[in-house]
Amino acid sequence: MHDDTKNLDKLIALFDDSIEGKLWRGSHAKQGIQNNRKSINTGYESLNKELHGQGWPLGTINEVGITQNGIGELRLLIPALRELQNISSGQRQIILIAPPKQPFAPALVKENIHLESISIVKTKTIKDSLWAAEQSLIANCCAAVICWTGKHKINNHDIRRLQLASEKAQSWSVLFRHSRCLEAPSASGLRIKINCNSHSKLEVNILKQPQSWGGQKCTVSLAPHYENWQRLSVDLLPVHSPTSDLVEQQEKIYQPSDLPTFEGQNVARPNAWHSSVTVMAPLSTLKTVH
Amino acid sequence: MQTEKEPLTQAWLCLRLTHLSLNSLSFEFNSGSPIAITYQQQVWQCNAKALTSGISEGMNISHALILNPELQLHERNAQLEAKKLQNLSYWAYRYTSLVSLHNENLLLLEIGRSSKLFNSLNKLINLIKQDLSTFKIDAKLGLAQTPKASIVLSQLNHQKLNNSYIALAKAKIEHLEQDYKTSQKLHHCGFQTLNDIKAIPQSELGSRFGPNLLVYLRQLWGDLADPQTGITPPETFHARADFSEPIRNITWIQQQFDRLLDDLVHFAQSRQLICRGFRWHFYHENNHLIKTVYIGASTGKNSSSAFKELTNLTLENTKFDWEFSSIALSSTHLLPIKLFNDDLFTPPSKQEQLQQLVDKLVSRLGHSAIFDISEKNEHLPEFANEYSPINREQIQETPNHYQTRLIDSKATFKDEPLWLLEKPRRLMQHNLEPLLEGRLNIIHGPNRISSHWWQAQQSRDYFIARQRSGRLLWIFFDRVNRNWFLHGLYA
Repeated sequence: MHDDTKNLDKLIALFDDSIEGKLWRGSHAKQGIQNNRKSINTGYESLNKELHGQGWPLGTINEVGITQNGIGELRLLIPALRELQNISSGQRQIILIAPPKQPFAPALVKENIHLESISIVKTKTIKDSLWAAEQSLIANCCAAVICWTGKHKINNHDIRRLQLASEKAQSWSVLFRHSRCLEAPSASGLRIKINCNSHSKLEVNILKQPQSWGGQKCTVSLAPHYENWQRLSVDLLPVHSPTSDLVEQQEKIYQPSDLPTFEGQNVARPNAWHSSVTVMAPLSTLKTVH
Repeated sequence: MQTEKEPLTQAWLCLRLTHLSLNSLSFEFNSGSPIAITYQQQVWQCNAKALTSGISEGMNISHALILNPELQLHERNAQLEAKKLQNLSYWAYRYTSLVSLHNENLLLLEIGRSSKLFNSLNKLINLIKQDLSTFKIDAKLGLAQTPKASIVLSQLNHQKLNNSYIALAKAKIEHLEQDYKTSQKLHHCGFQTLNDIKAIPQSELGSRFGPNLLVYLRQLWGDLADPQTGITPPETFHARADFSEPIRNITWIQQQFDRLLDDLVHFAQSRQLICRGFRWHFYHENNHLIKTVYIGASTGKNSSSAFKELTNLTLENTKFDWEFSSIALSSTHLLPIKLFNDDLFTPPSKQEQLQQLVDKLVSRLGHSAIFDISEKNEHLPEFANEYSPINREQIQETPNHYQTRLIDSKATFKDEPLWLLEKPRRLMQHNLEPLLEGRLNIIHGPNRISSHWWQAQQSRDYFIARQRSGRLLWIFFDRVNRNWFLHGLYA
């Protein structure tokens, strides 16, 4: 047995240059030997712990399976995008290919993402999206390439091409697909499924990871943290009285009782009436109102 | 003053574009309605009808409007005028090789050398006049044997070479291109026409009026040489390849495409130019043009491999269901190379590769497929997001320390979502509460945006709502139409 492992070691050593970190051994993972693979800090502690390399791996496709658009997938990526932009040397261009909706510029600005380095490519067919992603990776001039393919079936051949292209480039490439598509095998390095639970926290299920076993699970709470917020009290919702007339500025919409009213005088409301009720209490203590 | 002259074969034609401001904005002098071009609150030029109402150049605008209330006023566009003048100079190049721009509105052509080609000067002048009338440009012509003389004669619209000296003698002092002071002085001395000045010996004139006038007069009469710098039209490239039989499939003639592109690159390199775009033309057997395909390139280098790749990408998408017998490559978009300084210590940016990537994406997906986003200062969220097709000239990466972030502490929106729906989607309502795949749980708000009272009043209360599945939505209640809408997703 000892001879066998020695022979195996010799065999692997022969191919060491060409393999270069594509092969991992279970014993290494146990001993905590880490391949120096570049990765970006995800920004979330719980996710960092579960990923080997403590972050999103570079040089491989990160496949993310989502059940619906808008559950928080972009918010998950934002801390890493921010970090990529702050690296002073090299490329800082971020390319979004076929996003399902428009990214909202003021929101991105609020998150401290530079708008000048973002480009959006709108494609008509899935083939065009895959081609654009491949070209962006081959060009090796972007910090991040993020592509949405939705429910379209992509055969393994195309994914393999993307994977090869991403290995040569050192950009961060993310591929968003529908969760169901992740049931078929694929050649990408990292495969995770994310799902939103009813408290708006993101459950991350890592199916496959480069350099080690997959199967980890964790929960990530995304900023801004709305999980603990409860339903607004009814008197703050617009009261639907049919007689209110906007033109005459007699707004009967909000009528909390504590505002003083004078006799014979129209109650003047300030135009920008901000009121927000945030009940920061754990859910268990309150009656769940759905 | 007139010494023995060798026969001059020069003939200078001066085109005085009298109404360039009007013509550059495509108005004719004799058009129907009265039009005046204004510049700095004064009338700069006006057309015939305006003149009849008594409006003249230099008049105040309000004065002009009193004289003729129907007057149409247009702002003068100096850039358009300069461009028009330049285009005319390129046009004039077909009649002679020496074209010179003299003033803002003067074109000098040396047509003596072209007279043999056009058989006679008069024919040439008639052709020029015809062209000018088709361009609808008003001009006065002056023909003489020296440039300055032709300029003077153009004021008189004199077009016969033989009588030019006689006409010149009759020219008044005002027509000479002298400043006001000198012409006043000349008048005070009693001179009215050029003939009078001719009679005075040169030394006296020189001592009275200075050497400048002397030099001018000598150049006018032809005693002193007066070289003019001619313009050079921009470089263009044309190359053509003909085939013995009609071709249907591009792959058969791939070599020819490559060869023509190599020629283009070689041409550009030898003249220190950068090609910014080129056109492929496809012709039938009878030399009839079938199709033109334009390919733009924004790279800073003339790389034949990049051009070949772009050509292949673009031509892949075009259908070739006709036969063609010859192809031609032409480029008019050739610019001189700009040399820029690179910093020795910062590593070279990936700008070049990024530009190439954008070129590739644009050539296959179309120019409207790639966007930049930017923020606009607007109250309504759908206007605050600006999508603009990518500006290829300006793909730059500014290093970190040059960027300044404008962090607005008074943000217009609170709690913006990351995804915005282009058009807000109306939600189903039940008991006047919004529904989207089940009841929605409104957890934050309201945030009122009230705007566009000048157009159509938009009054919205924005809330954050959570779906049954846990997804967070940005919805608003439209108080004008009393409807709930979905406007964004917290991606």
